[in-house]
Amino acid sequence: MKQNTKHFDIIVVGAGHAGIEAAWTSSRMGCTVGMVTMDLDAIGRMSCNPAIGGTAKGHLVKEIDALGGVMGRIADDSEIQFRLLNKSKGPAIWSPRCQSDRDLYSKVAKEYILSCPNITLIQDTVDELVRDSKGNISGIKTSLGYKISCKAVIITSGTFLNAIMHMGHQQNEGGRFGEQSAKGLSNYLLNQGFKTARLKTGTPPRLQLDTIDFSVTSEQPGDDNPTPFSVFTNGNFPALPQISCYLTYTNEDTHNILRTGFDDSPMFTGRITGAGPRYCPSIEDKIFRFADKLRHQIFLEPEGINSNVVYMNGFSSSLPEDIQYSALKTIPGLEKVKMMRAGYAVEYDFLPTYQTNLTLETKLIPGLYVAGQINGTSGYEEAAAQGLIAGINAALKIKGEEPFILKRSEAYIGVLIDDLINKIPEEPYRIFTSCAEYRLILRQDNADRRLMKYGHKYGLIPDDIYSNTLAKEDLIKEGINYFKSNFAGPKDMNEYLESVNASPLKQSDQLAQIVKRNEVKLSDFLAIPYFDENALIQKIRQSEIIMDQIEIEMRYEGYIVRQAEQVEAFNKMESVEIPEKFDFNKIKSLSTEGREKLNKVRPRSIGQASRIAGVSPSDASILSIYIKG
Amino acid sequence: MVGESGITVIRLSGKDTFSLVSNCLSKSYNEFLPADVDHYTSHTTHHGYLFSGADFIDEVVVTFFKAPNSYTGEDVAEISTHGGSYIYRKVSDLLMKLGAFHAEPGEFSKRAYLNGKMDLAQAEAVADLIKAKTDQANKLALQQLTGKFSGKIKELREDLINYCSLLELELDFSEEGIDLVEKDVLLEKVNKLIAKFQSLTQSYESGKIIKNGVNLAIIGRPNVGKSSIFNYFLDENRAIVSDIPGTTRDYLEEPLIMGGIQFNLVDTAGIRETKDVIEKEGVRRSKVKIEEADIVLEVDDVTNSNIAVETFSETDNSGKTIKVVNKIDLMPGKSNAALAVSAKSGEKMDVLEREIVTKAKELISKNNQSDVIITNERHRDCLLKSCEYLVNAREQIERGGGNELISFEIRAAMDSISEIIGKTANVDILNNIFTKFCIGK
Repeated sequence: MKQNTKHFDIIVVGAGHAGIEAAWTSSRMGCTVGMVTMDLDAIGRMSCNPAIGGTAKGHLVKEIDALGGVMGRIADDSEIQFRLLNKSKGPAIWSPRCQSDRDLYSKVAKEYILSCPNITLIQDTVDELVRDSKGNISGIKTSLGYKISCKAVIITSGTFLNAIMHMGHQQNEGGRFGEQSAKGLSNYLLNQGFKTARLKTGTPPRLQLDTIDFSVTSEQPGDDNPTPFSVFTNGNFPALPQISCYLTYTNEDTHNILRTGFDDSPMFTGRITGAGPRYCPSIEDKIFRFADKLRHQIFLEPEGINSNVVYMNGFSSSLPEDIQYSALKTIPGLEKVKMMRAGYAVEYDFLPTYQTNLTLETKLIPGLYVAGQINGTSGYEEAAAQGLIAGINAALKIKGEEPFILKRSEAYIGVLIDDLINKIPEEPYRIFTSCAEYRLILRQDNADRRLMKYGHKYGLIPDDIYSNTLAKEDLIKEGINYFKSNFAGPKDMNEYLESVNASPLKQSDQLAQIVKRNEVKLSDFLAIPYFDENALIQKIRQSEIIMDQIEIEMRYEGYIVRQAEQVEAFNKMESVEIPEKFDFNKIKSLSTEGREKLNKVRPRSIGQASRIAGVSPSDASILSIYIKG
Repeated sequence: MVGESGITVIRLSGKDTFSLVSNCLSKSYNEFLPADVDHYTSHTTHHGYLFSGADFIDEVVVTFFKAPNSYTGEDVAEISTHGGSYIYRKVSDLLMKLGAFHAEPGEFSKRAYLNGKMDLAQAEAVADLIKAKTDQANKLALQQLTGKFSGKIKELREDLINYCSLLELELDFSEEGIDLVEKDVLLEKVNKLIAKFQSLTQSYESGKIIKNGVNLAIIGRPNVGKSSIFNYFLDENRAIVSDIPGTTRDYLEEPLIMGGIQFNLVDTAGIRETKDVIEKEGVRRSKVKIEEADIVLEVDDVTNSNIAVETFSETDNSGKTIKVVNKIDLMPGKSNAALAVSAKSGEKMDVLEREIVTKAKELISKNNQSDVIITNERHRDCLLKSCEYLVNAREQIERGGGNELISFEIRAAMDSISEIIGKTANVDILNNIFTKFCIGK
């Protein structure tokens, strides 16, 4: 340890999914970074399911990638199954998801971190922060007794603050199986005046692969043509052989055995006080709340190519180990299974987000940033997105530049952080597509077109990749323009239209009208001889991605226009600024709850104020009358 | 504005109300002995004497309401003085001198709204309540004021949230093994929603009539006695009548209450071809009034021999016309028309009045299939917009459009009705899903 530099621009506390992005982005932006973790082998560890992406989460990964983060790249390098969820539905909600090789994911993550010359890994635990006479961050103190000076600290401590693991009556301190809790930092933050609250999360049992009879389950293979998350991934993809997952179901016997454990459940008996996620309830919670449901689905997800471990998705539990084991053996395929590790619940501290700005800098301590589960989110992708934003903003602050805040109308990341700050989570927050009111334009397929300009601006996206995106953008626009301004007649079109069972043209029609038809698939359509001499179409035809973009934009056109109008109205409210030092107490007519919440969150615009939980529409209109004068 | 009356009540609202009153309310009329206003409890009434400096002005009764338990949600005092404009002016000058100022029109209700005492729809109802001239209009305003209307809107919003949840379930939780909703069910539910919205929207036709009055236009050729009927109903010589055809150049409009229903009675210029520029314009205006009328009273003259064949409202099949023959005093027993009257002698005019009232009642009940009636144009417009989005949603379902597009329309519908009472957050939809469906792997 002595050989380490004693000064860094930024200290990142934790090396999980948030920490990785925070360290990666800030170091790439020219800052020296000390990354402090309790366990050097746990970098980028997937503590729960071995998968990245999924509904709305896949959008986040694509956005992180477009902004220059690494999650998509790590996921691509360790991917062992890919599925585009919701493929049968509209493109706005297509969501990429992959199964990862758990060990490889962590190994690749560590390689990315080690490849950054500006990052120094430190195995230790941060106990205290050091502040200068003005209250700004000036360093940290560690458990091993080291003092390291720095200009900013990013805490990405996951579930490790005051963590307690529960299994039946058993309680152990620790944030993850076999790992300790970080008590010192939690106490330090409390002493500094931060408010903390409790949340709960859980994880299911891990099973021994070669003891499972997969023949009685149904196989869930991946898509035939996996596509990478990252614009950086090309050539060797997928790098690994592809695996299947397996679907099986619980039954009444399973439920009856689980019920015998209810009296010992730390949830039902009140030993766990933190609120758990409603979208990811434990199996006992599902049985208790939806008693009339006769079976629940269980996905058996292999944890890797050479791994003998299977993740039992859908069976999260904190009941006593023996009850978990007897119950799961009633499930088809698991009759003779060996349980390698039982499920458990973790209770941990988080910092309710009214204490944080949209840049993820805390209000109480300038220079202190927080990202990930410490802000009350769940999920690797949500954590990574925050890590990225905290990393960029910490670096910008050190350089004395303007902060980086994404709007709800620009990105799922914007929705995520805006929700966090304004809604103040009462359960672990997970992103959904329904959280995004502008989801028809915030698609996973156009994340690069929406956001890469920022990644490039901050030096996180290299010129060559950015110029590819710009060229792509031009071609998409040219293509759409061509279809809108050119017409074709029955002679040229009807042979194709009849071949796809679409009604033939009676007279000449705009090409755009033909492209918009449900029966028409653009790649087939552009292959007809009519377009053979057309140089633009030849260019478009070479790229599946560009054809997809044109097709989506044109099919959704009417809605995209209406959504754009909504965004405009939204931006209008966002642009009505509330002065930074504004005194909400002077407006007597605000409701008590509204005033309390406004004082807590201190919104910067009328639009933001109106989204704060507890601020009523009449509070918002009073505020708006007051501000506008 | 202030005439003569037994008493006048002056309302003060705001944070300095009590200290202001304590500066002028005295326990004695001999000298200024400040009343102990600070110790008065809320909702109590006190007798006292108003003083301007050393001058005794009036003996009054003051009722105190403490924030937030008052109409405006602020400290309120209501001072009952003796009636009459002089006293009112004296007291009002005094209060202004002590720091009060005149309320803007609607200001008390605006403050009540801003202080969260009522929602927007309720605040709007106050104005209607004050303006109500008939029992029905009064009941409608009360329905809105007591929140029955807002309750109905909330119910519709709940319906939309539930519907949206079904759609979002499939979008966000497709991997959860939950039974998804069939297209037929979606279609059936959206049709029910559309019907609900439409019936409420249509109730505006009744609501408008109850609130603003039935537009009753008297039409007919020149010199059939339209203005005489007009004057008869108003019980005054409002319109100039003469034997000269074309006497009424412009239309006249007067409010009138018959059978508990409010009418706007319109006397129109007789319709004929004319070269007179002024009369021409009068005829044009009359035609507009006929268009706008809820009920048309088509008048003819008993002396005209071919009543049976000739009619003015040529293509009227809306059933809004009542035909009446006037001037039966000139040729007693001559007319075999169903409705023959004399505005001059008053003969059979009671029958005509009953006929009009019956028709008006029919009109009011016709468009009123809903348990709640809307009376406000802004509300109607919001509901109409919602309806439009719901119809778009139905089209999307029919053509097999994605849930994300159907949801877009439903959310737009939600936003529109939310403008009536307040807004809906994404959180409401997700909460609803979590309560109703077993989510989570």
